[in-house]
Amino acid sequence: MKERIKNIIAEFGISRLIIVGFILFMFALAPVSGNKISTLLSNVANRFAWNGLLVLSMVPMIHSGCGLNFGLPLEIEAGLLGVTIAIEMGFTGNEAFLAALTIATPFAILFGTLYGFLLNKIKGGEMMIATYVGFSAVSLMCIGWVMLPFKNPVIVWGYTGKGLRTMISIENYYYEVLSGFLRFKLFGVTIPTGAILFFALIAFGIWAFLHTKTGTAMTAVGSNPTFAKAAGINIDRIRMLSVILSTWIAAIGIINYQQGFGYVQLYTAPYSMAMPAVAAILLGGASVNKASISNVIIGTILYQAIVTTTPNVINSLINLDISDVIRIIVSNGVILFALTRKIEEPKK
Amino acid sequence: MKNIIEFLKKNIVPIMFIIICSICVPISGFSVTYMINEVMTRLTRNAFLILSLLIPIMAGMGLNFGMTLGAMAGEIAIVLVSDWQIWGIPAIVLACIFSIPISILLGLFCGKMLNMAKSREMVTSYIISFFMNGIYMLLMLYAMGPIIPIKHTSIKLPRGYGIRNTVSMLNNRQCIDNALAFSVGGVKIPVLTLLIIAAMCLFIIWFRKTKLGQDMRAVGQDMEVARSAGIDVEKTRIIAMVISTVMAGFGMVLYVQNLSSFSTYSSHSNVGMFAIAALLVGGASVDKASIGNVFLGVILFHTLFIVAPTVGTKITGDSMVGEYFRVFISYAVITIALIMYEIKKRQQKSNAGKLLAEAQNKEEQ
Amino acid sequence: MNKRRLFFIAGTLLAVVAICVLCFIIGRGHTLYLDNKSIENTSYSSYNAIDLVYKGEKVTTLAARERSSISFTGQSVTITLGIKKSKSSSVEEKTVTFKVPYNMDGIVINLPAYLDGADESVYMSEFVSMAIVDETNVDDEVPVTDEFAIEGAEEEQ
Repeated sequence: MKERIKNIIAEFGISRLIIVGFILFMFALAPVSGNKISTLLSNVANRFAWNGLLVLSMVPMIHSGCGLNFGLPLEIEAGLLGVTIAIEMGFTGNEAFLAALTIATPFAILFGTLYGFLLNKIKGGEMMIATYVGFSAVSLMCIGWVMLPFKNPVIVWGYTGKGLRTMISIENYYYEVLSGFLRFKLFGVTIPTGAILFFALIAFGIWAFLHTKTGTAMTAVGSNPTFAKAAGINIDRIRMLSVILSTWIAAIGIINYQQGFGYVQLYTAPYSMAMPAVAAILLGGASVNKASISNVIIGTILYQAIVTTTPNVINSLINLDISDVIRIIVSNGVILFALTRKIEEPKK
Repeated sequence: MKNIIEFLKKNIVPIMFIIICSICVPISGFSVTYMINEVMTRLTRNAFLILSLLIPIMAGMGLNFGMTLGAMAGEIAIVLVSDWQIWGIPAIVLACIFSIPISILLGLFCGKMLNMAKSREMVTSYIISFFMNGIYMLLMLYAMGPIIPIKHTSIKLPRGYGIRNTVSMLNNRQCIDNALAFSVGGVKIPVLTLLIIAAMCLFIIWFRKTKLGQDMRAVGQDMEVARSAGIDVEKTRIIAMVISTVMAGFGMVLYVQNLSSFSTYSSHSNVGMFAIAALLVGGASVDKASIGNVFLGVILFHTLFIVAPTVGTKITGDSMVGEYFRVFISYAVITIALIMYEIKKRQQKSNAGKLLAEAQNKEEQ
Repeated sequence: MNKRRLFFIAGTLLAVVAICVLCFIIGRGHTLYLDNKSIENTSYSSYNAIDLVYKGEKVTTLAARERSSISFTGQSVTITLGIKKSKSSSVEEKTVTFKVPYNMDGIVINLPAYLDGADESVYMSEFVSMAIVDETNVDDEVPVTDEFAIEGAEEEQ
């Protein structure tokens, strides 16, 4: 019996237990501080629905041995291009959502191919280079947002008629198209059913994919490249595929994020999107070379619970707004923790 | 012919920069005196910070993204010294001294962490810099005031605790730059600052020849070989980090006295990024960097930095484009340098593999 | 050897502490506010004019009821005064040295009181900033804690 409990704890990880304990403690404090637990839970559910796909986009690349995908900002740019072009073309309402998804796809494939090609050239150094590829892409697109010939007054600066706005409200487009779908309340907790279903659908797709022949090959490439090579798997092609897949999920992930958040954020906003996603999947129990769908779900919930609950509770208790600082310390602390663990070496 | 191609390949980044600069400078229309003056200012402002990157590279720890930690230490010291109302050169000396213990602590932390993440030093030091930024913000926003006494409202936020977005050192404005300074044809030569930078260069040259410096190079070449030669690899690497962090702290103090103010919550990150980019522009790589790279890098990188906004406005008619362009250039340079380093590493590996295979073949025959 | 090393470290530390103390003393900045004003309910009344010369350079000439300031570092400051007591009297030069308290940022010196030989508590007082009104106006400064503060990345002068 004792052994079994020990095993369960070991499997779940002590660090995660501490975090769960901390979150429970925060929830326990919530009534004292005047926060409703149901509101806090609704927040977490909502945030989970926004961010789930961005975190999910880490999975294929981790599986194929490309490491943590710090290049997420690049992939987000594909989604942003999809949205802005859809709006520019005059789509409105919920059609714009579908149009954005459709238009983002070829961009995702293009960006993913280039990105995958690059990552194949630099095996072993992916993470650092991915970070800077992401940053370069964002700063290049900053120039792009100013220079590209967009005309629609909804997204272009009013007084100059040139260059996109930094924040575009999608109130009249696809705001809450998914989150609002079949939304219901359970004990006062609002569940954004549509968005969660959307996430579940794609997560299931990935899960199913990982169990196909190509999917198992991908896992093999990540966990044991020597074996994969001997088995006649084209490693570069599989890695490329994983990067494209990852890019596509991230591209639709950001569109999904916007439908919940209500704004399209351009220019420098994507810079800060990689860290929370990476931190979330690591928090869920993934490591630099191992990740599963359950890691994504647990991780996103835990991460969002920390960054939304803690500041709320602390703020009402001692009147300090430290949400930013907590977010930075938690997400980077978790990543740091994961990077300083020993990676399980692939068997040779 | 082959040599020329080799040379071009090795120095592709500086050559690209020389070409871009030689196109951009004439377009900007700045006068020669103005350009030299600006480059001189930025050289003295940044060189010390960039020099702090050399020692970890020597120890094989790659580009030290953790130098922002040193910059933070410098900033904390400056905030305190400003609040104590110490002015002039004593303020600079005091800020340097006070930054040392903070830098050493941060350097030890960073070194320990990097020892746990061998072969992933860069990405780890990068994340450490972000993590520490969180701690730094906690300190600056919430601890400064209630825990660490801050008296003056020019530094403190109006809400009663925390540090303002910009801390100015107006009373210390360029006090080191102006000491012993003279002007040649309209160009100000800040002799004392240059002397300090020269002393730093001499220190690095001397340090390379010491026992510790030799050990560091051995560790940088091959950790296992160094270990079997009796070198305490972990300790040597930590020392390299500590030295780098302390130097970065001094560098930050020099940087701020030149600018006479800094933005509390972003200066250190920017300083880190631009220092690394400048070093790479000078032709350094992840595993090899010299003092020459530092100076060439500062001059080329900052020449582009000075002209980019104007050129961007002139070409596109939008002032933000140049601004974004120079940020893009900084990131792109770092990206390219990292990519080239990884490719080179792979080539070396496959070459070694080939040699091994050949040797084995010979044995079999 | 070990003893020598310890001695060396102790010596270095001592030297660093000494430098710190020295910096604290000679680097402490103060602002001296010099008044040429009458003090109410006393016999000290303003002079006709006082010239201020600091470090060989003339700062200003204080007419009656005027104030001027000098910033300096260290614990004492020496100023040369050109005193003209009344319209008819001639200018009399006098070099004076004020020792200032360490914990005061701004010190107000009432020159007529000082020159007429008043007590230190009479002629010297701490400068209190009048910018209290100002403070409520700038109440909305919000710290910018953007991790990637890219815009305006490097300062322009």
